[in-house]
Amino acid sequence: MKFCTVKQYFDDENNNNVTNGIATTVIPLPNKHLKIKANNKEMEQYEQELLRNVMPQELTKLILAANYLNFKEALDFFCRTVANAIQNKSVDYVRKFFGLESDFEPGEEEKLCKEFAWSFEGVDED
Amino acid sequence: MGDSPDLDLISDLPQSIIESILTRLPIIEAVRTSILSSKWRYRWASLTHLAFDEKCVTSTNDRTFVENKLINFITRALFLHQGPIHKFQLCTSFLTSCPDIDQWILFLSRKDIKELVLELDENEWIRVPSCLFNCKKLTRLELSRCELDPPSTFKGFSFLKSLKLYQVYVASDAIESVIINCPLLESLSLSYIDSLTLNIRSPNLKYLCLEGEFKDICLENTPLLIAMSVAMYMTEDIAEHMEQSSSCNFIKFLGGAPHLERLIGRIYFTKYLTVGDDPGRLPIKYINLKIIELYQVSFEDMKEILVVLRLITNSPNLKELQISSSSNSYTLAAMEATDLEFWEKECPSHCIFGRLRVVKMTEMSGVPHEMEFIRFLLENSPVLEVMSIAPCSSVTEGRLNMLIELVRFRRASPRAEILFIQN
Repeated sequence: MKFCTVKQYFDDENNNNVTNGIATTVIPLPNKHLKIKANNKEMEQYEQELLRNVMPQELTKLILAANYLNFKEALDFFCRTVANAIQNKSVDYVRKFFGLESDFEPGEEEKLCKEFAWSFEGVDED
Repeated sequence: MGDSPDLDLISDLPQSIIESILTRLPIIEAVRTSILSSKWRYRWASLTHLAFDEKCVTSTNDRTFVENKLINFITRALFLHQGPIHKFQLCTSFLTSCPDIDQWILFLSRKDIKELVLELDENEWIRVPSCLFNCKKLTRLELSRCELDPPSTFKGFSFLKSLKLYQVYVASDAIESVIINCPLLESLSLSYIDSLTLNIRSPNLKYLCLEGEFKDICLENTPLLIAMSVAMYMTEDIAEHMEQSSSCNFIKFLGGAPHLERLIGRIYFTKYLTVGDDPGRLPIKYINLKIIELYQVSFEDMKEILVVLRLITNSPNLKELQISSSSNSYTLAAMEATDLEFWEKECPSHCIFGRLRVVKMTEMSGVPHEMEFIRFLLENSPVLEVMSIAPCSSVTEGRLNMLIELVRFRRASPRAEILFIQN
């Protein structure tokens, strides 16, 4: 079920996907999840805490770990956290968040903006 | 200037994870990711779940302006989309009937659509285009406020598991035929579809929800039904039809659902079940029925009481019972005991509710038959834990009498708490 891959992980020593640090965050999750499942407010607070204390890099590693461990609830939770972090933020903010760099030719980005003008309305200030 | 592979956290994540993140954003933001970098230009275009509403466009007071922008947005998004679309949801009151909706559905029918949700304006009922019936892979269909007219050649949706129609204008035989031609149907919800006369034949149906003015419903073949929620409204037409009917509604409705686990009946449901010839001893026992909730039960109508009794005495594993009374006429006349021998006559002498733990009676006025019903339950429920009684707010003087009577009743369960709820 949920934890058959965990056993696999511990048996498999040469594991590049999941580092020890990540495992300590992901594995206690089901207990925390169960404990605060009923209380949405607490989940929100936990999410805020996670966002503050955990860098986007760690967050992506957490996502990959949850994916590898086939842990659906954790995966949903982390994806939701990422989505909330970038919701209604400007393009530059999101680029910084994910470590992306614009590789468009000068003028190309402007053109793209026009092409997708129908989607650029009402964004948060950075 | 290019992406440094060390810094880029996200572009190489599996598509399923990207999708999981982007579908949690409003679609307009998912589309905006096209500008992040060249790798991202069309990442959003492979999303398999698309959900649109009027928040996709800036709102103004000009309805036509918003409508046009929305149509533009959806059309462009679909035009640029690549790959299959498994889920499409459109919920807005800004779209009046327009040919674009027809074209979108045609487009979706070519994209392996599995889940389709359309919730539109209540003033303009669109006629669902026939290409909807070509969406062969549909597993879930939800339509609100539209007109449905399946073509005569329609053979059903072979994979449809969930069908929900809300305020849809459709003929009874069309619905019947859709239901019977969707062999995998598990969940059916029909709300406010007027004057439906239905014979439901659905061998895999598990969840049924009906609300509205139904003329005649028969669950002819629903052997796997586990939960049912029904709210029946009445019109003069329907009342007349009911008076002339002789077939037993109780059997027609509940006779074919032996595995029922949960039953909720509202408005005129119990009255509906009284129609027709008395079924006498029921041929089936609802051994899985654990929760029964019945609202607007008239304790002044012997036939309705009989329906309730019949139901609970044939449910040996009943755990929770909730009854809301509609007899809110606290008058001296109503308080006169009429026909109390009924209880001795109709109650099976060795009836024990061996698993009944919780009973909630609400909107009580303390009319004799309500009290007798409570007495009957208290005397025959050896493991009862809570009997909660809430008088209806218009009854003020009768409360003391109710309490006096309650206190006298014998209880089969030493653990039973009687809670009298005062507001």
